This record gives sequence, C-alpha cells and structure tokens, in this order.
Amino acid sequence: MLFRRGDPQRERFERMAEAVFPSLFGMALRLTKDREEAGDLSQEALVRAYEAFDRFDGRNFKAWILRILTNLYINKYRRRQREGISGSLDEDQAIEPPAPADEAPDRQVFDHLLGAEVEHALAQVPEVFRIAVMLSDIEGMTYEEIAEVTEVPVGTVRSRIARGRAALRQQLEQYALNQGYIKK
Amino acid sequence: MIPKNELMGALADGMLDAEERERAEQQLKTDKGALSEFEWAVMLKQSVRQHCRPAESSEEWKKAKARLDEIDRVKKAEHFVGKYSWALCGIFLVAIVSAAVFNRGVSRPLGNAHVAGLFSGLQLEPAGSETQVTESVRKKLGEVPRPVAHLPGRVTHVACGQIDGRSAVRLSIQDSMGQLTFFTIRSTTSIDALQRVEGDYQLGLLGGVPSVAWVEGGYLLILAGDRGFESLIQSAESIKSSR
Repeated sequence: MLFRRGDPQRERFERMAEAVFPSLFGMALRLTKDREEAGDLSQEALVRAYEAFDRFDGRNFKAWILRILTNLYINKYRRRQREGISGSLDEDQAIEPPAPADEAPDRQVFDHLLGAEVEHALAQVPEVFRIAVMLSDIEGMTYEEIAEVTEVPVGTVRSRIARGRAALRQQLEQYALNQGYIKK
Repeated sequence: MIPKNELMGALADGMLDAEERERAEQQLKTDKGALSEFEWAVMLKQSVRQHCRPAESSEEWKKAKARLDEIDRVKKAEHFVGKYSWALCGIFLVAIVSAAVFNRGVSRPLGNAHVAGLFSGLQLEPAGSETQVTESVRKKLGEVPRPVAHLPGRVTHVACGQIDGRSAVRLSIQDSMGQLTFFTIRSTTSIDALQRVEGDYQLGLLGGVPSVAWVEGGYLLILAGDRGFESLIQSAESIKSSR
C-alpha cells in the first residue's frame, strides 16, 4: 500500500520516519562502516517500511523500522557471506570468552578515550553483540524493544549485551595498554 | 538463574524486575566480582552513550525522501496504467487499425490484377453536357478534381465505380488526334503496371494501351490513348499546367 504526497498517511509516515531517521542512519553506518552503504541501507529500509506501512501495528515505529533495517542488513550480510566475502555470524564462535571481571574498571582507561576510539572499539565487536549494545546504549531501547527488533527472546538480548560489553571492554583495555595508559 | 555478568549488566541497564534487582543488589554487597561486573557495565554503557554520537544525516534524509517521492510517482503511473489498461489497449488498437487502413488506402499501389477492371469494370455511358459530367464526378468523388475541368478535349462518355475498393472515374475524351481515356482514382499513388518513370510520370501499357500516370491532389491520374508516350506526356503537361 502506498500513499500519495499530501495524503495524511504519507505525511504521517514521513513525520515518523523523519523523527527516527538519525537513529536509522546511525545504526546503518555502524553496521556497514561505510557512509555510502549506510545511505543505501537506510534508504532501502525506509522504502520497505513505506511499502509495508499499512501493516505497522502502531505501537513502536522506531523498533519496527530498526527491525526492518537489521533484517535487511543481516540478509545482505548472509548473502555476502555465501559469496565468501565476510565472516561468521555464529554467536558461539563470534567472541572469545569474556575476561574475568574481578577487578574494578580502571578509570584511566575511560579518561583518555575519545569518540573515535570508542567507535573503533565498538566496530570490532562481533555483529550480533554489537547490534544489541548499540540498540541498548546508543538508542536507549529496553530489552523488550531490542528483542522485538532482533526477533530473539529477552534472555538472548541480555546475554548478547553482556557479551558485547565484554568484547568492547577487551578492545578498550587492549587499546589503553597499547597507548600506555594502563599497565598489565 | 541468570549468569552473574548478565545479571549485573541488566542491573546497570535498569532491566530487572523487583525480585531480580533485590537479588542483584544483595550480590553486589557480598561479591567483589559482581561489583566489578556492575561497574564495568556502567562505565561501558556511559562511555558508548557519551562517545557514539548520532551521525549527521540530513543529506541522506533528503535523498531518502526524494526516493519516496519517486516511488509514489512510479506507483501512480502503474496505478493509472493498471486502471485504464483496457482503455489504453483500445486506443492503441484503434490507432494501429486506423494506421493500417490509412496505409492500405493511401499508399498501396494499384495491382496488375485490377488493371483489367479499369476498362471492363467501369461501364461507360454517354456524357451529356459538361455540367452533367461535373455532377457525375462530384457525386462519385465528393469533389471535382482540378484536372477534370481542364481536359484536352470534349468528354464523350463517363463511368464511375470502384477499383480495388477505391473510388474511380473514367472519362472518354475526344481530341484532335482521336480518343483518349482519362482515369481519376482516389487513394493511391502508383500503379504496378506502369514501371517506367520519367520525371513526374509513370509510363507503360494498360490493357495494351500506352498510358501515363501522375499524382495530383490525392488522386492517381491516368491518361491512356493509342498514341506515343511523348504525345501523352504533352497532353498531361497541358492538363497539369492549365489553371
């Protein structure tokens, strides 16, 4: 179902889409790590959402459209994977076991961090965990909303966020070590 | 039972129900590892939130909006075509048929099979006065083609009819050199039997009679007579040039 410009439904869609587009594009950018690809992906998601707008249940537009985006990305990713370009999405193989967390975080690790470094560290986190962390910590979504976006149970969301943060922590600690901000 | 790291992460996210939260908070007091997990979760969460800013996307939004407009335009066109497809098909069909009919009527040459009909199919009757001749021609063709009014002699007989579905008039003319036959045929520009071309004229024999043909005002005009082609062309020239 499509709506003409000037149609209240078209205007409603545009209003809602405009409000969530920064999140949509930001998510696409952090998934693809390429501005042009992110533009294409977010546009494609928007078009799919527009075409399916009459099936939107009216509850949570942001979760709905982000689900379209992540599904689109995963499908594209899996297609690429079949073509032998990229790595695995398997959760069990996607990350090293989290490091033991007996010590409190070293403040110095965080004091020296810049945006680009955190972005870079986040980009190294395996995809399924990264998506969960981004939806939680950047988009501020609840576990239920993340479960809706990623179409997995809440327990899986909780696990993915924990593993994602563990991976992020490893990346940041490694960075701080390399830079000499902390010692082994 | 939720694993410790997940429990502390969920506590940092504020995603535990009352009972789980109580259990997690109890664990924080007694378990140093749990406390560390919690603090890491909080620090990482804050760090990501603080450093991963929303990306500038106004240009991308404009492009995306333009794409929606484009989709609307395409769908609108598809909707129109879908809705009026029968009408459009009908219009195309009428156009094709009209073009075919027009093409058939206007440019198809008069075939050899119809040459005999020029003489046998148009039965001559005495012409009567000049006015009567003019009226007969007008009745058949709906007008009096200019050359009919400028023939090089007296019209003795007239015949009107159809040749290959085209309106035609045959006039017998008496001039100083003898008998001539003048044909006026609508909606054709050539005749297969006259293969030689000299200037504006097609020359040849029709039913064994020397003939010259030319086109004027949407009619094929033929002058036939038992005389040389030069003489026929001369007569045709005088018809063409007279105003």
